[in-house]
Parts: sequence; structure tokens; C-alpha cells
Amino acid sequence: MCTMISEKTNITGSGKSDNRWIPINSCDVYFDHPDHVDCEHAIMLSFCNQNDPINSRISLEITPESAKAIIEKINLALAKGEKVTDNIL
Amino acid sequence: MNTYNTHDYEGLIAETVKIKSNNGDEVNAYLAKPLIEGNFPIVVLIHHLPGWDELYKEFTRKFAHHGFIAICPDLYHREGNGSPDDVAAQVRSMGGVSDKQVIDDILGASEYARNLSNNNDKVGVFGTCSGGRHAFLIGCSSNKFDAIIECWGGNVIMSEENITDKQPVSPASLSQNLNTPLLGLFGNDDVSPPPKEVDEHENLLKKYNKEYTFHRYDGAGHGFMYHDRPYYRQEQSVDAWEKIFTFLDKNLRG
Repeated sequence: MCTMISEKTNITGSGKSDNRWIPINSCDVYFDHPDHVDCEHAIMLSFCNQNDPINSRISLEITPESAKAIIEKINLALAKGEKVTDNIL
Repeated sequence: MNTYNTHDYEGLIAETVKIKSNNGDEVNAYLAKPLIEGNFPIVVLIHHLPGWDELYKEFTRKFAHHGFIAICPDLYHREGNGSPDDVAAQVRSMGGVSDKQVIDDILGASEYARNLSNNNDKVGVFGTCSGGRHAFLIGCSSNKFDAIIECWGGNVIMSEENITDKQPVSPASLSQNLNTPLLGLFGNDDVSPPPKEVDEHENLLKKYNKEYTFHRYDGAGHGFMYHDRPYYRQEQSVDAWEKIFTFLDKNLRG
């Protein structure tokens, strides 16, 4: 709550909330005290549509170790996916 | 903590009210006050970074239960309405709210409460986390308050690279201007502020011979009084509430 460590990026994607999909165009990444998960500091991901950022927000808070594990898996999946698509193209 | 007799009548009213910020903006605030006769001190609550949430409304009613007119303005009111954590996320995404705006809202809340009947014209300020920082800042910026409670205020000591347009001054650099008794509550396991920063904070208060009391709890970290969060520490929290009410009774009553 008090680190104010915050990073923001524009993205293109969709998110599901309240059983419906909505377009998502913004992601904030925080490192701070979490609201819910049981750890001192967490990585918090806040996805939203900037046309209605408050009501469109889809949020996630995970331990730093979990964040690193996800980053690793995303990079692995990206590398495998790009290899497949490169072969097709 | 039981401070009442079971024979006593007890009643309070708690509701959302519209206040006028010192800058003229209309802002929502949560007001809780005793229904019994008497002249009650005022406590203005400055909510934390997670927003104008249920915890802060509980805190507001707790102060009223202990015989204070308690008022907590929604510092994020201008950014829109929604679930408090969603509003807080939006505020955070925008880099927070400005110190000047917060001070204006606190002054507005204080003025609103001073205009209510049954107040004794004494005003205390209570804040945690970013609100703790704001509490100290307002104690150094205004002479309209009679007691300041700063709970684990992060960024009271700000390095040059953390200075922004919204937070243009490191509150610690204003320590010389503090003219109100200060109670500080901190957890020794906290990393924002870490014990080293609390030391620096305290050294400045000593240097300028300010009236202050710091309590620093072992086995407690950031937000140790938040009973809705995993880092709640019951023993330290109970003790801290006792110290808060003792401090306020001393400085705001009689």
C-alpha cells in the first residue's frame, strides 16, 4: 500500500468478468502490500478498459515467486508458439 | 476494549454526508457521532491507499463509539465511484492524489464537523499507511489541529527521485513546523516505512524538540491493526488502540 511501485502498459486483449467478455486495453502492474493473498508484498495485475477503468477492472494478486513462475511459463509458451508459427509461415 | 458500563444508554448515527473541501469541491464523507448529549471532540480519519473501504468505515464508527465525532472523507471521490478497491486501483494508476488536495479535503472535513452541534472545538487526525503520511504532513502544515496520530506512514521520508508534482515535498523536511502533539505507531517488521526510516523520522522530531510519542512493535509489520488482512496482529493492535484513545483523551478532552 505504501510502496507506490507501479508500472503501466497499453495492451490489446479481452478479459472475462461477471461471465462476459470485454475488450481490455490497459494493464497496471504493482508491487505492494496485497488486499487478500497472505504475503507481505505481492505483484498485483490490474487489467481494464480505459473507457470505464473502474467498472471494467479485472484484478489478480500473486506472490512474487508466482509472478516469476508465470513470467517463465509465458516466455516458454511464447517461444514454442513462435517456433510453430514460424514453421507454418 | 470495554470502556462503557452495561447500564449506560448508547447510540450513534453513521451516514454518508456531503462536505465542501477547502478548495470548494463537494466530496463524500462518512460521519459517525454519538447520539447522547455532550460536547465531543472531533477525529478526522485519513483513509489508506486501498481507499475509502469498509475497514475505514468501521474505524470511523469505532471512534464514535468511544465518544468522538468522527468523519472520514472519500479522498478518491473525484476519480469516480465503484467498489472501493477498483476506485483505489484507478487512483493508483493515475499516480495517486495530490498532497494539496488531500490537505484541502481534511480541512473541509474538519470544518464540516466543527459546524455540528455537540463538538468541543478540538480536532484530532488519524491516518494509516498513506493516510499516516498525510496525518503527519497536515500536522506540519496547519495549526487547526490538536492531536495527530500517524500509523506506519510510508514515504514520510522521501528521496529526491520520489518527489513528484503530486507529492512535491518530503514531509520529514517539514518536521520543524510540527505544532501539534504526535503519536506514532509502527511495526518493526515493516519495510515501508522500515525501522531505519522511523529512526530518521524520530531523530528529526528530537532535533526540533517536538512533542511526540512513538511506539514500535516487535512481531508486527505494515498494517498490523487491519483485522481484515492476513498481517493483522491481535496483541499489538489491541495495545495500539488503547494508546490511541489514551492519547486522544489527554489532548482533546478537558
